[in-house]
Amino acid sequence: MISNDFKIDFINKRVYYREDGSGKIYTVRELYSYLQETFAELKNMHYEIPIKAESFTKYTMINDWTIDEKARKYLKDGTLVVSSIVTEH
Amino acid sequence: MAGTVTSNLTLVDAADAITGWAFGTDTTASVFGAIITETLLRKQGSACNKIQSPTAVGNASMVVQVTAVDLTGATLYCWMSFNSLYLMPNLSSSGMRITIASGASPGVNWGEWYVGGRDVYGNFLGTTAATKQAGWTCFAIDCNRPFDAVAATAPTKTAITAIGIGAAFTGSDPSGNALDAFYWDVIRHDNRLGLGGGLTITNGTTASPATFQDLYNADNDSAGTNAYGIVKKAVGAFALQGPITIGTTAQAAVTTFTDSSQIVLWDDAQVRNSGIYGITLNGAASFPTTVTWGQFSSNVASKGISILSPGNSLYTIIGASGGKNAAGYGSLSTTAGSTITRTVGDWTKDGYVAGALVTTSGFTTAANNGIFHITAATATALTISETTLVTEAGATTRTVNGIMPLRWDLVVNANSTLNAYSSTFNGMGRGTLNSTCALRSCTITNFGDITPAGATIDNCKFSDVNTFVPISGTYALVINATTDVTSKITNSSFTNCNRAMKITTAGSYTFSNLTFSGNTFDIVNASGGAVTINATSGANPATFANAVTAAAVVAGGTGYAATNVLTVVGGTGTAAQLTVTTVSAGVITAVSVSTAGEYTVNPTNPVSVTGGAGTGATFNLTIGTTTINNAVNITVTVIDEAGALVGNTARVAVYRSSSIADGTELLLANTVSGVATTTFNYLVDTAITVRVRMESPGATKYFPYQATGTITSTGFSTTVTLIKDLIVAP
Repeated sequence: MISNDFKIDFINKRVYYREDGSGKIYTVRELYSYLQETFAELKNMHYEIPIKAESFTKYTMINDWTIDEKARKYLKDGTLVVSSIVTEH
Repeated sequence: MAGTVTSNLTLVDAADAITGWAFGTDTTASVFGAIITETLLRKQGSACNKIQSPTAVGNASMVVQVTAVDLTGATLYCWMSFNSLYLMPNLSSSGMRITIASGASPGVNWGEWYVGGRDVYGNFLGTTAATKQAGWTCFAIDCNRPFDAVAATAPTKTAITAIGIGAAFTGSDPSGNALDAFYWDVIRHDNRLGLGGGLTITNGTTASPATFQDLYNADNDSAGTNAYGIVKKAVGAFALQGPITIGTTAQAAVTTFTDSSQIVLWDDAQVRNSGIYGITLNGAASFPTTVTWGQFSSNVASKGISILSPGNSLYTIIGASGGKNAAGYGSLSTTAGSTITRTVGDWTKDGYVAGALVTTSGFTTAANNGIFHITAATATALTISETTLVTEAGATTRTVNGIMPLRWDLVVNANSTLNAYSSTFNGMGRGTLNSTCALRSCTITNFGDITPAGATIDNCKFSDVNTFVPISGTYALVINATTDVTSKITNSSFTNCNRAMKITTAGSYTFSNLTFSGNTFDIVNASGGAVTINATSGANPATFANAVTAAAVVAGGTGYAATNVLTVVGGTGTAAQLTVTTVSAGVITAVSVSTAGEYTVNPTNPVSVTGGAGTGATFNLTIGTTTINNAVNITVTVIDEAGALVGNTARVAVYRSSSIADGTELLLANTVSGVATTTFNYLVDTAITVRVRMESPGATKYFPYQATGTITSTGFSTTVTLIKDLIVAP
């Protein structure tokens, strides 16, 4: 389950992969969906959305959100732009 | 029946004969011959007096002896006419004058005011300078004004024994005509009655009401019996040179004054600057007075009266000409900060006093050219409230134009009613109404401190409270009872009104569509208690201050003295000040509130103070608290691309845009049948950010939505269309 592996640091606007995560690799789309559902919860409405989709395979971290370099290794099937860095998965 | 007009002036002399008249002691030689009675060209009564001399050069003043009279603060009304303006110099050379004197007959201690001259008086009917003609003019002078010319010993204004007029002659008539030159007629004064002077009008019926035209007709009766000099009429407008009273407390019949579509101006003659203009309504218990200006029918106000103060134009000072009472050659200069200086003439004699406005031009430095407010005037220096002047040496090419705001007061006393519809009041220094009055669709501007006292005020516009003298306003309205506002003052606006409302009684007030903008404070709570404002129907009161009304000694301290002024410590706002009224061996036993202060956050009792000769005193202040309740709705309606309400699963959040990050939301809820709503206590327009997110697992998902908006006095409502997110995993 992606929520057990990918975690959200709301304070520092950072998405990271748990050190003791399952090691499972997810599609960027699955990460996108997970983040959108999480940020649509009432308790998280005051946080800015971290990601937007431009297509099924191209996504961008927005609003100054970042994702750890390590976490990106657990993503596949898509392009995730973080600031000016483009990471192919 | 038409209105009945009576004068409240006292006759000085009708000038129907030369009896009692003599040349004043400042008359130049005896070149003017005798004072002559003239019957053909009189203004009032059976005759007037004149002097005639086609060749004389110099000043002539003519005075009549009177029983000693106190003219302090009085206004003199004097009729004069100069047949050939060619013979008369400009105002600055004392073309026409009003004179008073005291001491041995005919008054060796005299003072004169310059009131007319070839440059500012008369109707220029002639085609050449020699044939310029003028007519009768009633010149009024406020006896408190400084003299333009005075004997070595000024007259004692409390015991004036000679009153008269004067003129100056420049030389012979170029055509050699033996023209009659200078005439004068009836002279009156107003008994120092202030608003009680001028004219009183009574009677009138619904079918035949009293009107402004009745006042004019009485003043300008064809028989020439009256000629009060109070009411003039030009280009269709009435010009008033004195106060008007409608009805009396002793009247034996009702007074009904009704008029519409009239313009009434307070005369801006150069000779006036005091605040005695006004309209007063009086009535008797069994015979009330009803005044109606404009019409009100089917809830529509129309055809109102405009009562306007154009302001008193002061003598223009051009460096090269010196001014009204100085024809010489001078210069105008500025000193860094707030001083404008002249080298010739006298600012005060030219009418420049605290409260007047000046417009300067011709200075090299741009900062010295502009509009400024005078706070003090001496013979040579004007001090202005602005501090932006730059030092510039004197030059004769500069000009100062002055204007003195005219003030008039409106007083509605007991047993009288004013109904004003679609009317405009400009320059009203004070307005006192009562619970039977109604102001509907009126515009009140350039004014101060109206006390409604329960009057109905609906759909009116109040703007520009004038804080400078002579109006010296602080508030638009002074509210002394909770019943003065609720259901009484409605649908009205208060713009640029300094302090819009002063509330002196604690309680709850309903503001129904009362809107405020540009005021330092919308409300000043001077009640000493709790004031709650419930705003409805788009009302937007937002700013308030609380004022101190009393102070009790908690600790008297040591070393204080009576009259010490103490400044309260604490709170947010303008600090209150207390004046020590009694002490016992340096210990304060009582104080009074000398400055009420204005607090947006009240100081906490007991308060300490600074100032005075001692230390250690503390006080418990009586100071009000103010609560503004203005619930408006925030409503967010969410639909899908097909226009259908999205149901119950969209999450809606509304935040102040300035504080989203702290998570304090104004609205945070799931939609119910596509709608999320809440209430908000509106105080000021509030920038907001709206977010809508709908990503519930297993349901249709949508792209998140965010937009900004503003909560106004009417609340906030928006409809959000969500776009399906086909990328997100189902």
